[in-house]
Amino acid sequence: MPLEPKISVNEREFLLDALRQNLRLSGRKLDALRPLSITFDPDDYGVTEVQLGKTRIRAHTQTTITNPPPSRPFEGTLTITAELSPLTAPHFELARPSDTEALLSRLLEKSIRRSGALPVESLCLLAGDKCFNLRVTVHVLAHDGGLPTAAFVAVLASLMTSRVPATEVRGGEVQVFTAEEREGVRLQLVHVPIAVGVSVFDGGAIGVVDADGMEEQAREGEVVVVGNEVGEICGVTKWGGVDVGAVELVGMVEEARKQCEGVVKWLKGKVEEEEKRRAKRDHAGERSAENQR
Amino acid sequence: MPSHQSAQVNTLPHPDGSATVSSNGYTVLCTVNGPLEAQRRDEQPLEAFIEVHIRPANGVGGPPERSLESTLLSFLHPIILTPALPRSLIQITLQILSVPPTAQTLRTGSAASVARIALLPSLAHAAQLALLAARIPMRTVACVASLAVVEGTGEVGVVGVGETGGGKVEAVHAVGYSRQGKCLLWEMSGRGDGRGMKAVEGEARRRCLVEGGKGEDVVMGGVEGRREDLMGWLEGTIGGWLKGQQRWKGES
Repeated sequence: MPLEPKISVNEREFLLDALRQNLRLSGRKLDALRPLSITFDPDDYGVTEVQLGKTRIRAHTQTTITNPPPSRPFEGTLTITAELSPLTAPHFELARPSDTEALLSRLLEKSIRRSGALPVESLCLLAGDKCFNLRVTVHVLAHDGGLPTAAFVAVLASLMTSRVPATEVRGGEVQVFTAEEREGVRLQLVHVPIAVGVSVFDGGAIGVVDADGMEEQAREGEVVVVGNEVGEICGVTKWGGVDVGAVELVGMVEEARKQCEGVVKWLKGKVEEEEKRRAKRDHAGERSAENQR
Repeated sequence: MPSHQSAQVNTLPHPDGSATVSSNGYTVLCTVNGPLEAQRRDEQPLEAFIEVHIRPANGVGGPPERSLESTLLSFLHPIILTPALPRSLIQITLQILSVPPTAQTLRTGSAASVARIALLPSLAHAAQLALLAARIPMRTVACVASLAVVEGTGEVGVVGVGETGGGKVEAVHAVGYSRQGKCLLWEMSGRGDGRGMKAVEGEARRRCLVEGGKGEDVVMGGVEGRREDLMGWLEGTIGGWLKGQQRWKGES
């Protein structure tokens, strides 16, 4: 089966030499992210596509109603599925999950689901009987580095724009309304965690934010920092690679944290814009029974 | 009718060929990688091994996707010139990007069987465009029309799957014709008789190939006289993409 095309020794040396002089082959600064862009499906809720350089990721959120697990009767469920397929590149095989895929889904799972970004209690309809099951599917359409950042933006944007059906509980019976009967309800996210990766070069001396595909092949390690809009660090991950000194590590984490804050602010602005556009299109103001007092 | 079809060729940077096609409210992205080295158990001495994989918009694939894969494989196998690439693998991956919000249902039967038929044209067209973009040798191109037989007053009404306008649907068909006018695919779901099949055959042929599939070579590019049939649309798309590919040659 095909292998991933590797960069040559000369290319690697050239890239490293340039980095030692504070230069990147793309012309970006060492601490600069590639331009991010996001598109929302105009007809569907919770479908987003994010582009970070040449990396393209699509996320879908689907809501179903199920029974809660018996061990956790007061909680709904949130599942995030991230799979890399030959769609991305031929060296990603269907039957055999690659390291990239395993690390990406583990990171998403840890930093979004287990950090409590979406309180699962809010997905409970009737304790021990009915709850919402949210399933976020992440499709990696093109991979050119920076998978964590793009995947986090796509998943969070999808969750922020998705709707769960409106429900009413009367006498122990749950009534679920369709979108035509009653407008769906937005999810209540507690915070918006975003991941930014710092790639390590030259034996831990150089840290580069948001490495592209070629830099990812030449790097000696990576520190992924998950931060939110208020500047909190939700997680720091380093998967093997070269040793990084404590002082350098603190500097890298601080740098990535600042980037996370910027990305969350940008994302919230984009989602707000989209919600306004939808409200205008669907005449949300006219349908509301509220009046100004 | 091809007005609500749209296609883009080579939308992704890494695979050998890719195409995005939208029709009947579905959007499908197809990538083709090949010829690749086949695994030993898949390797065939006289022809290429074709692998088709369909991924749903949400969640992981199940029996409906596996069934669509086998249908699509039997449709694509005679189109691809497999003996030209012996002992190799052609990997076709289709990702469903979006599905229409409301699904049409049959009078008897489920929404799933209609969705399956409505999805087939997008899958078939995306796969062929991506195969061409990947420069896989092919015998011909074929197009697929999805039709619904609507209950009427005596007369058999045949319309496109998305054009039923709330009428009672008796059966749905997906029919595919090659450029030479040969029928390569016929999938149906629902009830039907000989008269209905005849009507579907005529309408599908009209939608796929207005010119009756005489099989002579036409100038691709769709510049002179836009044809309204699916084959005209498919050839126009390929021609438009090829023109873009040959821009470097200049006008001289």
